[in-house]
Amino acid sequence: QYSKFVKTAFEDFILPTKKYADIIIPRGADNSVAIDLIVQHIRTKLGQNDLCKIHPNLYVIQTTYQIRGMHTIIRDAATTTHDFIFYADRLIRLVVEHGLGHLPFREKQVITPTGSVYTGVDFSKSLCGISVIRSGESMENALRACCKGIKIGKILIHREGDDGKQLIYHNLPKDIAKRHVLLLDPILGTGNSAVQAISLLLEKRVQEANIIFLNLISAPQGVHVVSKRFPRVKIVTSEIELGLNDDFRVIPGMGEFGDRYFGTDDYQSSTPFFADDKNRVGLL
Amino acid sequence: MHTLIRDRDITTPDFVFYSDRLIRLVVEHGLGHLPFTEKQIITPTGSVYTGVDFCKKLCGVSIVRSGESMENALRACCKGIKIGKILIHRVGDNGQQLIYHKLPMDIDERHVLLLDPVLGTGNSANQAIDLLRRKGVAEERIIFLTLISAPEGIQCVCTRFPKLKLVTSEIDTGLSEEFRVIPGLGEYGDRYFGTDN
Repeated sequence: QYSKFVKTAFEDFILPTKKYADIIIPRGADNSVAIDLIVQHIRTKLGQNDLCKIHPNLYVIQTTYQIRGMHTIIRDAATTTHDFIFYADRLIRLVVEHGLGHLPFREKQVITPTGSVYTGVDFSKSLCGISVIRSGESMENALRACCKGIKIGKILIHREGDDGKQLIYHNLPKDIAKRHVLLLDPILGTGNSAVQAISLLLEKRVQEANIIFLNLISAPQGVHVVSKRFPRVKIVTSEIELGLNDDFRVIPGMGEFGDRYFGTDDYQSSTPFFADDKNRVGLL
Repeated sequence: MHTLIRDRDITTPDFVFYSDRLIRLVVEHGLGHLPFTEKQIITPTGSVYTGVDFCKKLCGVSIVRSGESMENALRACCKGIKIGKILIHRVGDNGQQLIYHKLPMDIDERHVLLLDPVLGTGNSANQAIDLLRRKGVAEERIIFLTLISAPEGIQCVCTRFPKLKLVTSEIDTGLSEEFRVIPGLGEYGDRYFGTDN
């Protein structure tokens, strides 16, 4: 009876579905190796930040306690400018190093002093950095510390309210179309200024896939906007924020990065907090 | 970066530049292994951010001479960190001589970042760690930071001190007959300080 009904039914209906399966585990439930592999894969996928799953071009640097500690310090409204600069510089250095890892490389063999051969890689040659004035300029030092004598171009985009950025000024290397571009802007909020900057680069005939956007924190809305419009641009960030508030500022954010970094902030007018001379922080 | 610093034809300024970058990365990674406490802060936009606070009691101990190249990177990451020094002379292939040491007074209360760029046989590392233990540093508070390690060295250090953490940027193939690391990067101290010929 088996060979008359069950087996034929299996061959007619179940076996053909085999070709639609993504993974087939031979020997079924006893195959612990295969099942472990799948479980590990699922765990990795679950562990990835949600945005990374939607946008494969978004790279968040690996969170360690150090990075979280640095974020804690620079986000604190009561941090002194000196400390802010110190820790922001460290964080920027880490993001830049990570971003540089996404550039293409060529394999190369060298002879070490002991006489043995080491198979390594050679850096990509044609690079340049583009910083979005003013806050992007804080990232230039870290980039120069990693790549000696790298050419750096500048773009000035003024934020008019909550939309309509004005591209006011730009000065870019002449041969930028042949280079890989590292776009530097610490905060990705609405994504409008980023979109303007990238549009300008594309007008100058930089290839979209050659652009790597480096920032410290990004809001999900900004990531959506940039990735939808320019899906081949890589975004490297150190932390993904919760979102934007009604004034289109990033939450929890770190305030106005340019002001805090260059010390031009003014406690009285820009924030609802005050720090009195006993270093107590309170609400006005 | 490894490709550049391992190349025997590289110039000293380039060697120093790329070693510094690599060391910075190793140090940042090593610092991530220190314990932290959770802390909440208010950001300028008024929202609450749950973050962490750095571990307070730290110090670096560098193994003269090559370890001193790593001191700058450590100071760049941790302002004003105390740094102690140990001088160990390498006589042939065994029997390291511990010649000089100067360590912070309260080192037994601190977490120690031991700095030595190349881990070869593991003998000098063992001597250094022995000294730290004699001064009362707990084994699990020591984090050993190196650029390259040979498997024999790793074996040697980790079987003797299993609770110690070792952070390295690359594991090499092995040791040669003269107990130099292969493929290695030559005599690190000479190349970094330009005293090779």
